Amino acid sequence: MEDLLARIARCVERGKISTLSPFPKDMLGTAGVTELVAEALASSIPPQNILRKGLIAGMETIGERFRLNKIFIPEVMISAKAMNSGMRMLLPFFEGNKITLKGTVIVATVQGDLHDIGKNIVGMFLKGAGWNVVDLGVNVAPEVIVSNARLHNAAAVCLSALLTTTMLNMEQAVMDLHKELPRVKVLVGGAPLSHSFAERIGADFFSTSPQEAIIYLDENSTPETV
Amino acid sequence: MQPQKQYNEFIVALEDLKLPESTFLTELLDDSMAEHIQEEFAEVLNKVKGIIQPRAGYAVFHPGEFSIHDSYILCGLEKFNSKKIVTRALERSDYLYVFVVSIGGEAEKLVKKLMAAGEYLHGYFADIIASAYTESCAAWVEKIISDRAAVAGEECTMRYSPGYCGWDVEEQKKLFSLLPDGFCGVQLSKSALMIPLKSISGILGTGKSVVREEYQCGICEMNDCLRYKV
Ligand code: B12
Repeated sequence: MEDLLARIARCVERGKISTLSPFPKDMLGTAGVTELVAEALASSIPPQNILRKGLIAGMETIGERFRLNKIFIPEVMISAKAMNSGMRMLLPFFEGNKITLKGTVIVATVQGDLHDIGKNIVGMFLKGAGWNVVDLGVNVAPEVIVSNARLHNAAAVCLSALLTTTMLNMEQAVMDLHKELPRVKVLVGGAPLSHSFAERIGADFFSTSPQEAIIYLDENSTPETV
Repeated sequence: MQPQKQYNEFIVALEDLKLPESTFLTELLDDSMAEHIQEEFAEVLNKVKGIIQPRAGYAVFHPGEFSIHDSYILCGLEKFNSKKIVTRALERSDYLYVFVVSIGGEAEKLVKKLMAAGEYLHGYFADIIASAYTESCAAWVEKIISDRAAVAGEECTMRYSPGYCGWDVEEQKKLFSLLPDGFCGVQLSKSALMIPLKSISGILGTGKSVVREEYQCGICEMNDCLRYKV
């Protein structure tokens, strides 16, 4: 049975959605994520294991290769899509609580800023790692960030800023979050930021790499079941 | 009230916009990208080309309508607190151009739709392609202005935008007050962001004794500028 989960992980890693997927060429005609997840469910493998040891495991491998600069972002996205195809099949099991995600993470580009390409990448990595992601979009005011973190009982908030001037709004959001929701981890990123800036504004974590944020969250938040 | 001004507004033909080769687009993409990823890129490129509506426009300020000082620029009734790096580049200008470009709001809607559907790769490609088109629209308006200047024997400066080189983005409010409402289809939000998002605003100068210099990062005091990182 382990073997089946390892095959699911491999298909996620290679971005192989189904038998019909024309790529990758060396896997032409072989089963993809959707067929293998169906097979796993039919063999009564617990959905939580399919998620954790199949889908998420595949994303972990690809995320690590990205962190080590071995691959480019498009390849991670192809894997994320393959993972999604499997996730869709597991959706019914969320209702009966047969599967739970790691928790909720809020992502947002801070007030006064519109640059969201990096924020979207971070959101995609988080989903791939088994987090429920609530994306608040761009130009998000500190009070909206706080109220959503409360509403969704978030484990963490990921803030992005690319404009030097909006880095100040980031500081406000971090302060408000720490004051109102001290349990919630606040992660910050965006090209002009630095470790020293993140430290000065009291953020819990800074990195240029979304994958490192995942590792940090896995080690520093209290996962539910996964 | 600002004095009566003449504005030039253009609908830019797609064929005139080249995806800039040196921008972040090339940095985010890999030449050795697998063939099928390149195919997906081509597919999204076509989609984006079909929905963008590139527009560009500017207002010209003539001698006497603006003055350039050490750390600020007076233009019409506005005072731009742009940093030295900007004022120095523009100081010999005889004419000052305030410009806006936009590719409209359809591309960002497409990005949102694709992302929400889990089509991350297509959403990402659509976003970077649309951003690159916005940049090339700014390059286009700069070229129009510099070509006209060249006919009159003038040189053209590089273009500068609020948000670049330590010049506060909030000053887009002043920039937009020099232009008619909804110029090039762009509105400014309360927090000084342009809507549609895929827009760029800025200024540049032309003049007989202008010397076009690359961005003078040497005199900049910002230590978190991205130009050093990319
Ligand atoms: C693309 C882009 C745009 C696009 C926006 C597209 C979009 N949807 O985001 C367009 C063309 C519309 C644009 C417009 C403007 N832009 Co712009 N833009 C850029 C550009 C070229 C690339 C940014 C980018 O997406 N990089 C790629 C992503 C993947 O990188 P990233 O965001 O850093 O994210 C990575 C990491 O940082 C990290 N990360 C990011 N967030 C987070 C969060 C967490 C928690 C973690 C852990 C990690 C993390 O993960 C990502 C993946 O590795 C930069 C210049 C540059 N080369 O960086 C200028 C830049 C950011 N823009 C700038 C400016 C000023 C503007 C304007 C205000 C200019 C103007 N007046 O017109 C306008 C505003 C438009 C508006 N509507 O008001 C300036 C900002 C200067 C500053 N630092 O203050 C820059 C630096 C250009 C410059 N040379 O000065 N822009």
